[in-house]
Amino acid sequence: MEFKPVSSLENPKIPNAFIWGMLGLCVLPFLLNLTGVDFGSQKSAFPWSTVDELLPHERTDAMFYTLAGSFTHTLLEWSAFMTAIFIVFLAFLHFHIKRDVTTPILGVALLCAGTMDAFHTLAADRLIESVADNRNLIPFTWAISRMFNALILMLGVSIFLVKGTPNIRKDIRFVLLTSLAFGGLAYAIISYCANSATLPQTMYPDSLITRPFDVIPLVLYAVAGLTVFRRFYHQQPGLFTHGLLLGMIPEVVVELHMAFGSTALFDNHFNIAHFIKIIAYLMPLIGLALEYVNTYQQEALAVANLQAEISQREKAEETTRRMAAIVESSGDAIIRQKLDGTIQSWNSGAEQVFGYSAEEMLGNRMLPLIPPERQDEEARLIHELRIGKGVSHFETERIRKNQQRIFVSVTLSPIRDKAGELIGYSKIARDITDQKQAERALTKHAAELERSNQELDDFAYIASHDLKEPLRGIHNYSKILLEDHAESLNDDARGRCETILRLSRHMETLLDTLLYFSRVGRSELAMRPTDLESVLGNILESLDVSLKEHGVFVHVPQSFPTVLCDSARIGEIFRNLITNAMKYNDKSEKWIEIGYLGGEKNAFVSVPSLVFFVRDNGIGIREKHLDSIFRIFKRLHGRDKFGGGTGAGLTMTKKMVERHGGRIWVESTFGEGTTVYFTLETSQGVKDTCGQSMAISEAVVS
Amino acid sequence: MGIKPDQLIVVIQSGPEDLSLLVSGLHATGANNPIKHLRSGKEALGYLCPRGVWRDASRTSTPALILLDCQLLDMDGKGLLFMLRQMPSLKTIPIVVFTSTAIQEEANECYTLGANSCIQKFHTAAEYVPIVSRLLDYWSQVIIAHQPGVSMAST
Amino acid sequence: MVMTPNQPILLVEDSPEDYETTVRSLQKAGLKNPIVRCVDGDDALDYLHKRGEYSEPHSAPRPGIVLLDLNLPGTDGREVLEEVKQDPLLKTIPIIVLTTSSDERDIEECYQLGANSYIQKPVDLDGFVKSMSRMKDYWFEVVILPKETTMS
Repeated sequence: MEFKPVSSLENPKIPNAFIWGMLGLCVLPFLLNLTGVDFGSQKSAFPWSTVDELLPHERTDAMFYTLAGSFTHTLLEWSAFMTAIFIVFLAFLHFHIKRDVTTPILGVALLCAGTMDAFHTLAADRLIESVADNRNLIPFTWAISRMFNALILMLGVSIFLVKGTPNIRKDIRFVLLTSLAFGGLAYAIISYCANSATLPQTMYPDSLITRPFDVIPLVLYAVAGLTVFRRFYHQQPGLFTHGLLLGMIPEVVVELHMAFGSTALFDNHFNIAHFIKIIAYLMPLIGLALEYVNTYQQEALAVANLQAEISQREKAEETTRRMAAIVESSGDAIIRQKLDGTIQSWNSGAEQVFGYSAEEMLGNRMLPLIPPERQDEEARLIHELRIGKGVSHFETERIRKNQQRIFVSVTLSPIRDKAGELIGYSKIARDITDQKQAERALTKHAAELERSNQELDDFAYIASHDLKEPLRGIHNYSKILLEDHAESLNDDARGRCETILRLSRHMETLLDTLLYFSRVGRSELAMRPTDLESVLGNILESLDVSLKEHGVFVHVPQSFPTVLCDSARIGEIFRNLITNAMKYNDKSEKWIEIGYLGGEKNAFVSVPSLVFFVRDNGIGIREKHLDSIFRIFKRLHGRDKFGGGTGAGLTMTKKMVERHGGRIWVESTFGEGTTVYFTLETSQGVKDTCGQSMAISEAVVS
Repeated sequence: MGIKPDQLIVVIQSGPEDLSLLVSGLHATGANNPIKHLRSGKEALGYLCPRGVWRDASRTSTPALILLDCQLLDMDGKGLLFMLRQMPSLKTIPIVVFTSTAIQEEANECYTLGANSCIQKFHTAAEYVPIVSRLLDYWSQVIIAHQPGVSMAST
Repeated sequence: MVMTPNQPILLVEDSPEDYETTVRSLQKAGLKNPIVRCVDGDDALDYLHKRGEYSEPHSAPRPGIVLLDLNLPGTDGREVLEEVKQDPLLKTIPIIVLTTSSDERDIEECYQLGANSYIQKPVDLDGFVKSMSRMKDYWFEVVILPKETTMS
């Protein structure tokens, strides 16, 4: 169902369909007359001649036939009267709903007019005691009731046109009084008519104006329709008043039929006039009924609007409540202040952060909270707001109620009035004391770390420099001793001098290694896409002589990819691993296999990486040593076995792999061989051969 | 320690014959270092200068040693020496200047401008052999060169 | 081109053992030139500038080359190097840094400051003798050393 009003609210009108229908009905009987239709009641004379032959019920029937015109008249009049009854009924309902007295007063006026009609009918039917002859009574009372009808409506309307004051209009007593007045007037006329033996002649069938008495209501209706009712409609536009106005048209038509057409009782024009009179009554009724529909629709609309508004308001209230809850439950201090600093709101977060309660702070300023050296800060921040700059996460210090200093991060937002003028600001202050302390601790820790790194650096430098100087002295003097005084030393002494030389050389190697190890950890990696194929090729070429010396066969089944790394470091990793694989081998057929498993996400690294390996069939490592092989200067074999060494190679390799973000581990079976694996991330640097390596990796995995 | 066998040696020399003498001297010592020959001062600047108007994209590695002939066709070798020494990236690369005469002033000037050493030019390959041999011996065996980004060999 | 035998070598070295070893190595390499020793940086600068105890004429002949240790008591080798290489009269004298340190930072700094060579002192005497021999070969037989041309 659409809530579309029957007519616009500003100037409501009865829809055109009704108006056209009304006009059609007004004209239709006349048009039908032209085609030969006669609406006159068939007046059969009472069969007086044969009345004695008739049975009693036949006489009664004959009487009914004689009275057909009277019945038709009664029906038509009663319909009009009932319409008036409906009108007054609806009018009072309307008043009850709208408290507008216009409707019931006019309704009552119409009812009075209707009552006159009813009386006219009842008198005509001899249901009321009346003394006058019906031939005169009917046309006279008709004319009287028509005039009464026109006048009382004009009177009712005039009341509002003249005294259109609202306090009277809304007074129920005024309604009752008017009703009584009208009722009294109607009764007076009725009783006069009923009790008058002679009534004036009203019908002149042979003249042009057959019923001159009806000329008066004709004029009245025409005048009323053109003046009073028009003004009234414009003063109080409404469907009811529009109906009243429109009702004048059928009224005029009625009177035209009567005044110029009707020559006898119950003839064609008489019946047409009575029929059209119903229409005249119907128009205000339709107006009222449509007003009902309108009222209902408007109310439905209003209710819908109201509900929408209510839900909107509820939503807004909900938002406000929620905001308030957030502000209240926030751990941050949320404060509203006027431009002069006066505090207008102080949430529980503010109480917690600053230690002052809302009662203490509301209406006051922040002054006691601001450290003496920062007293001008607030003014500066407000200035920033004024010139349109935001203040966001401004870090400063405040003093709590217990005089403890805290660090806060302050964010200010402007509060403006409707004109956009800055009237205050809201402030969110977060206690960042803990954070600050953590930052300080971190900075301190970083400084300590820096210092300890520096100390390590210095240590390495001292080791390489200052420790070497006496060492060089020991070495060189032993050497000089051997060279210059060889003849005065015995074999034993010479042997010991040799030992001093050898130990000092070893000591130097250890110092160099230590220094280098510290450098590996600290120097920047020169990361760039590196073709491992060529890196490996170079290393194998430079190791060629030693490999041949050891009789080792190197097997590289795959072509190596390009990876983002420090080529020199990666070269050293391979060199160290290959050298180890070459040295620690006692088999007759020695081999080393170098390869990689690519691309899969393995358990050790989260990013895609390649796992490189150097595998040998050498002496292997006992399981219990697997953990300690990466420890610096840790050797598993005697100093002179397998070509010696400092025991730092694997430590260095591990460090270099880790600097690349990789991981290194060893799998070994004692006596059978060792495989050293290490990973390199491929997420950034793999090119060209990557696809190939991926393909290989899939093959390996599957 | 010093110059490694695979490191680049740059020779800046205008006369092709002089160069062949020097290069044959280099090869006679058994050195296999790659040699980049630059025939003019402009070419040298283009090759050695990492950025700016002389930039040359063909350079792949920083040379380990620069051998500079004091007599170039397009500019004074000493002028070039001065310019090379102004470039931070070349400051730590040894430059050995070959002077055509034994005029002491020229050598002194080259030392003032930042030459690491000055050596007299010769006229036959045979004369070059012992000189270049000892030169390479010195710069590759005795000296520690500055090698940015390259770590020291481990033990 | 060959260094005149009377032009001295200035050896700046605080450690007596290292001094003795260096001298021994150079002599083994056949060096005939006189070797002058300064024990610290200030001493070396005094000698080069001919001031202090070296203010007597001819007491401090201009050296052909300087062998400079880096770690010296007081004014250290780097400062000596920097000062000499900024002095218009002294900067022609080749300075060979002779030190224990193989630290990248030291090497770079010395070359930046204008060192003509950088040599590491090995612990091993044999290696040191070889180094000194080649050094002597190069600087005293291959290279044209600068000579004082303007002042005595």
